[in-house]
This record gives sequence, C-alpha cells and structure tokens, in this order.
Amino acid sequence: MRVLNQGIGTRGLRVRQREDASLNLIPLIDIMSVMVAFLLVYSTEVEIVQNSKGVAIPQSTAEVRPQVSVVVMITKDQLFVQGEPVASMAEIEDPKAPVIESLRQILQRPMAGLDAAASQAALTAQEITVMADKTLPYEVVRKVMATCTAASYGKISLAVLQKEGPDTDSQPGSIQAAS
Amino acid sequence: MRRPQKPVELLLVPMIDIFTVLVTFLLMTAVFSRITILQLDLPSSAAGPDSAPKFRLEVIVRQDGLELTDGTESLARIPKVDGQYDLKTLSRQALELKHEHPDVDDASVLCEPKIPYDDVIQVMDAIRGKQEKMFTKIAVGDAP
Repeated sequence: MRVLNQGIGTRGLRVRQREDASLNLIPLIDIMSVMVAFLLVYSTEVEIVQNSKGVAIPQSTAEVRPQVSVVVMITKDQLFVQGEPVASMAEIEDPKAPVIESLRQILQRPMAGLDAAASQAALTAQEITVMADKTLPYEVVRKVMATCTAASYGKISLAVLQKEGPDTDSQPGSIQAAS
Repeated sequence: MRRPQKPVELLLVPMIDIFTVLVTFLLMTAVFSRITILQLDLPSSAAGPDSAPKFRLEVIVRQDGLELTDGTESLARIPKVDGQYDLKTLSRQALELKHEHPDVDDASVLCEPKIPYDDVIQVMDAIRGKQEKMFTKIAVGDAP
C-alpha cells in the first residue's frame, strides 16, 4: 500500500511540475538588484579619511564630516603621513627633540598622496587630520600636533569614530570597559 | 522553421551569478563605521590682541581625576570613580557653567602627559554636550 501511495503521489507531483516547471527567479533578481544598487551607492559615498586596520581610533559624538586634508596616522609603533611611514615611536618619544623633525620636513613639501589641486587646497586651508590610536598617551599626540603647528598647519582635526546611538554614550566609561 | 516555435527563455542564471558575486563583494567591502572629525580650536597668533579677561572653561585631566577651573581659580574637583573618569558629573557641571555663561563657547582640555588619548576625547565629548551644545570650541593643552 505504501509503495502504491508513493507512486501515485509522485506521479501527481510530476504532472503538476510539468505545468510550471520554471523557478520563479524574478523576485530573487529584484532583491539582488536592490541590494546591489544600495551597496553601490553606499560604497561610493566618498570616504576621505579611510579607516585602517592598524589603528583603533576612539569613539566620539562628533558629527562633522571629514574634509580633504593631509592625514597623519599614529599607530602604536609608527607614524604615517598619507599612508607612507615617516617616523618610529622611538623618534616620536625622543624627549630631547621638541618637534618630530622627519614629520616636519615631510609636511613642508607638497603631498604625494593628494593630486595637485587637492594638495594646493590642503596647503591653503592648512588643514590636517590626526588619526591616533586610542591607547596612545597624550604626550605623543601633543608632540605630533606641535609638529603640525610648527609646519604651519594651523587647523588640526582629530579623527574619531561616530557613535551609533545616543543610548550607547549615556554610560560614561563604557568604551574603556569594552576595550 | 522549428526554432522560432521553441519557447524563448532568458538566461537568468549567469545574471544571478554575477549579482551574487557583486553582493558578496560589496558587502565585504562596505564600511559600516563612519569616521567623523573633532575640530580643535587652537589659539593662533593671528587672532589679534583680543585677550579681554573672559570666562573660559578649563578642564585639567590628571591621573587621579578631573579639575575644573575658569582660567584663574579652581572651581571643582571630580575624582575618578572605579578607576574611570566621572564624565557624567563633568557633563552636569559643564552644563551648569554653560547656563551661567550662555555666550561662552570656548573651553580648554589640559592634560598630563601620560593620559590616554581616548580619555582626552571622552572628556572633550563630555564638555561639548550631546543634544544641548555646551562648549563647542575646544582647545587642547598641557596641564599646569
């Protein structure tokens, strides 16, 4: 009986399948195209300051969007200007030097990473963005900022990660606890 | 004459393949963390001789706690709570000071050398305020 039943069942199914055999792919494609469009738009939103793996920048409630500027990145053991390594932590922490000489020299010549117009704009605006690791002591950041000021970059901005919601920052110290 | 009679089928499978690859690629490269900037308001020498004695909030970040001054005298001390800076109290006191001096936007955060950079940012956040804007022009300096 069982075998017979199954036989009838599959035969019935087969007949039904033959009527509309094709998978309905249109909704799938619809969803996919919406996703592709959304992700494309989302990813082409110009990221002027790119996050990088080696540096964990602090979170903040700041809402100002980054502008085109020279980016100085300080990781735990190196200093980068526009992505190229410039100085080591030993050079930065050298207590005898009031400014970081290698950084100052780099900042005073035209920037390689930016194109000519952007470089000119950055120079005239004298803007610099400092991305520093959040575990660094203040004296390191201060020294880098002092060097930027010495190289006539007057407008210094600190790059931070935007906090998601107002709820997360209602408890002070939660970031330190998480790290 | 047989060919046109066959049902015309769109080749959707390659298209789906490409879409799938695109979706996974874009999902992987998508950046879900937004970077913003904190603009420092450093005193410049070109600012001119506008140095009238005005109220200016100063927060001194020390190893053992925070200290609020108005540039000349100490207003309050906020000790650390459980090894963390008491940013809530700082925020509240900054708000009170803002109500006393509603036209003042300037503030300074003065730090000792060994203070972690993260704490500097959190203190700046606390005195800048979230919904209600308090002291938006913040400079950074060394602790006396």
